[in-house]
Amino acid sequence: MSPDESYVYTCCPGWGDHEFCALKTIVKDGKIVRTEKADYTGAEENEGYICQKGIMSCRQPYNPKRLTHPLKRVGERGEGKWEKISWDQAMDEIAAKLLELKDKYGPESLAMWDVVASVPPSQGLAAVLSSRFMGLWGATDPVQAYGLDNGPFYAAFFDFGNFYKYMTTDPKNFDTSDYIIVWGANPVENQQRIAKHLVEAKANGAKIVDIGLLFDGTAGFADEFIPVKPGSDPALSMTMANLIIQRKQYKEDFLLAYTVAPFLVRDDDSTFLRDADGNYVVWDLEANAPCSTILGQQALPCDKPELDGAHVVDGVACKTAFARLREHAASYTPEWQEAITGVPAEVAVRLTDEYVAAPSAYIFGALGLRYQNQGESYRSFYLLGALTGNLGRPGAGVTSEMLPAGFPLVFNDHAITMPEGRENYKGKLLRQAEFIEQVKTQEPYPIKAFWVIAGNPVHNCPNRGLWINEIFPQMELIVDIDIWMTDTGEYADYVLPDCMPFERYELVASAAYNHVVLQEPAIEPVGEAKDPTFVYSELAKRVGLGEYFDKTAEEWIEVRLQSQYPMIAGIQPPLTYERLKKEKMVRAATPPVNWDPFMGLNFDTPHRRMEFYAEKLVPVNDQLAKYLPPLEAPTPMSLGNGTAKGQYHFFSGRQRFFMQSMFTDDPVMAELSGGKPTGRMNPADAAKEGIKDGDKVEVYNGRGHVVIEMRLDQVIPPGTIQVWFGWRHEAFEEGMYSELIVPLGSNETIDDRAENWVKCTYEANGYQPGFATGGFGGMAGAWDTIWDCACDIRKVEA
Amino acid sequence: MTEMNEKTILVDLQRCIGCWTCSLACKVGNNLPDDEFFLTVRTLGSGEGIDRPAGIWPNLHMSWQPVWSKSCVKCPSRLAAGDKPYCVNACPCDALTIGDAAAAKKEELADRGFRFFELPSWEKSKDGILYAEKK
Repeated sequence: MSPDESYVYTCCPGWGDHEFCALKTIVKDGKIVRTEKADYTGAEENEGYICQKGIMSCRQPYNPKRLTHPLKRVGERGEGKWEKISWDQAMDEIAAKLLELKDKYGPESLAMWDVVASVPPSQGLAAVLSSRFMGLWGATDPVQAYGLDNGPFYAAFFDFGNFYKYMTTDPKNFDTSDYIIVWGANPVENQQRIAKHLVEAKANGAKIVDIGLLFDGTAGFADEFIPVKPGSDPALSMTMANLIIQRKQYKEDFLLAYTVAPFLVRDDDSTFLRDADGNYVVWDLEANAPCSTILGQQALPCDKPELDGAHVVDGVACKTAFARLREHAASYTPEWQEAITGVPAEVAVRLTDEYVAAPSAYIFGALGLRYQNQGESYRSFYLLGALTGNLGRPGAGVTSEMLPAGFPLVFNDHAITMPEGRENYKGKLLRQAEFIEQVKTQEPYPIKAFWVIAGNPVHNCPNRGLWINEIFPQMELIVDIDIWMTDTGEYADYVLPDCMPFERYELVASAAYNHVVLQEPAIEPVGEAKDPTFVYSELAKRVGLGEYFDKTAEEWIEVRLQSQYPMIAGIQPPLTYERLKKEKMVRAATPPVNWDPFMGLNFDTPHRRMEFYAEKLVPVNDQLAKYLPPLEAPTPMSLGNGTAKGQYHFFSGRQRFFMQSMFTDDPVMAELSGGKPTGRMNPADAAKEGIKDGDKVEVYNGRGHVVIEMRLDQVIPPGTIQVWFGWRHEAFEEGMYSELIVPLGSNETIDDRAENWVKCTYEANGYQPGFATGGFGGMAGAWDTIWDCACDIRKVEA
Repeated sequence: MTEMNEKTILVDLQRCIGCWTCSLACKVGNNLPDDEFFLTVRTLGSGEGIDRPAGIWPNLHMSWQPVWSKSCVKCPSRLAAGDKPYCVNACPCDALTIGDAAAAKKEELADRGFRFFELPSWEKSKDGILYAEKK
């Protein structure tokens, strides 16, 4: 930095649930001149980094498309006619309408939409203050069982009895790994801090294998690329498990110490055998007799429990869970899986050999298996980690969701989101599928107003038609808050201009890598843009809740810091707001080891063991991970027997230079991304269809269509049509990719397994308000099916 | 042939993930117009463009190589102030080094069996860019 430059820290505007980053923003003469890596300390000294999007983010505040004033719709929704009004007028009118709707229909007639990861930082003031408002007003939260990103949460919940803990891992753990399978993820393009550590691992001699749908950047970087057909992953992973079991390559000690492998399972109903006191039972080889476990204790009272056996105990025939696994996995042969995955049998065998032979191995999954059967995939990955003892030690592990972070830090958010206590939180939680039905029928209670806290559902929550044609017409009031006009904003009644992260105070609650980082404004807000503290305070005071919104943004941050969480409370000198403001970044009281959720290998299950055999899944016969066909993505079988819903798999993948729809407006990023949205297909498929590079093609299914220029690209496997995600509606000639996709969280995606999961979530008290404050219903109970989609194509003649 | 001075940028090609962070950091830091780049990132694949691999599905190959044009000035004011050029400073994977760090890295990579090369002169690219590739 030169002497006339100063800096602050900022949550990158490219923030978006793949990776959360803090940037150093350099300011000169009141203008942002560039962004750089943050300067972390101690063991994280080299963890500051920035990606191409973070570099270009400094241009975003100056984008002429920024919303500068509150807008009120004149004309019809979607017509694009607006008048600029003052904040006072906007808030007066919105508040008056909300009070009118409350009188007529009840406070729950207001639905507040918060896709938390959409506004940097995710658990920032927009999230906590809107949650506070929602609980005091009694609004409806329709983002439960939302469907997004759900597979990893399913796997962690049923295997480990915990939820958030397994979302994050410190990617420094990869550096010393010998063998890393990247499975259904593209960190080279989308998660730079992880890519950084894959690079370290490779430099240290690791072999990197990429298992995925198409030849993306990660495939290019990897030492080996193994393509798999869409939604076929559990067939391959369970075949690996079968090979390991058949060849006795598993780590018996690990299985006996940390998993339910030795637990006896009843033949009759598949539940765990229990003694008269309700304890689990294993078979003691030394005594040649059953041995009861001690409830709540991981260690067993006997030294030699049996791994693989069958016995009759008090007249009940039973087998060890490992025996059940062995029998279950036996049909997953390399030859069988080849017909499903397209992976040659010998490759499946060699992959397994290499994984088993590696002293330390990682299976790195990161949400990229957006098919209805993703829960099976992620549970099977955890199973592989358990079978080979690749959990809970440096260089070895399994991830399903992977936000690269340090130790989780918990701030004092309860005090803000639930000022009257959890029992008095009046917000009503609604599953997405129920919300969709409820808006259509207005039963059991009407929903008449829609307020977007964060997100862009018309763009990001497929399906577009659902929102425009079915949900919005039922709303008497739609309010969108954003930094520019989005596809959702186009249909709102009021659009309120938000501040960019460069323009407001925040606590960087994630992405802080064992530090507490303060985001300070780098510049004044553009135009009349206001921060969430202003918006929710102005709304609250007009609806009789003003006394609850009596603080500035900095004062709210001060409250958040008053956390009893040991890694925050233990900071010395104590972490006051004054200290944080002076130093901008303070190291948390984290232990001097890399965060790994598996460290200690003690799980939040009743028996403290990992449940590759999950009793709670017995009601849906899913206690052991298995292959299930995808919801809609065509498979060799469905194509062969004529039941496929389309001839092609439809995949809307992400580009390097965009983050969701962010950066699609930046001319440089748009140019590097090809300048306009296109489709891609494999040249061999194109030849069969008579399509040449650049031809105009309509891609369609029963839900919608898009017309694009089709490019031929070897990157795309035969059988898949890809249309780039991210470009906004206005960039398309006709239609949009999001028209084709199954609506997230809708009834179409809900099967018996999802319903069972909802039931288990209720039993675990998961339907609670707040993120990381005990609630996890938002990410439980529905499947992420964004890529579980079929389509057909036709050439559009000139 | 592979001599270095204190302004040579050493590029560890094994670490390049083709992200263009270097290129865009340079563009922003040097306040270049939208259509001007001092350095771009070549995809070593089919030759057709960004992330276009060589080969026929599924036997494909690609890697990446940043290329500096002669317009690059090696950020003299930053170097004079003891800072790294924008590209070197920004690379998220530590693929770029300069000065003493580059000299040390070159030794380390040589020990690990890397080979070193510069682009041929007819490419008309910037002098003083040394690429390192695993044999």
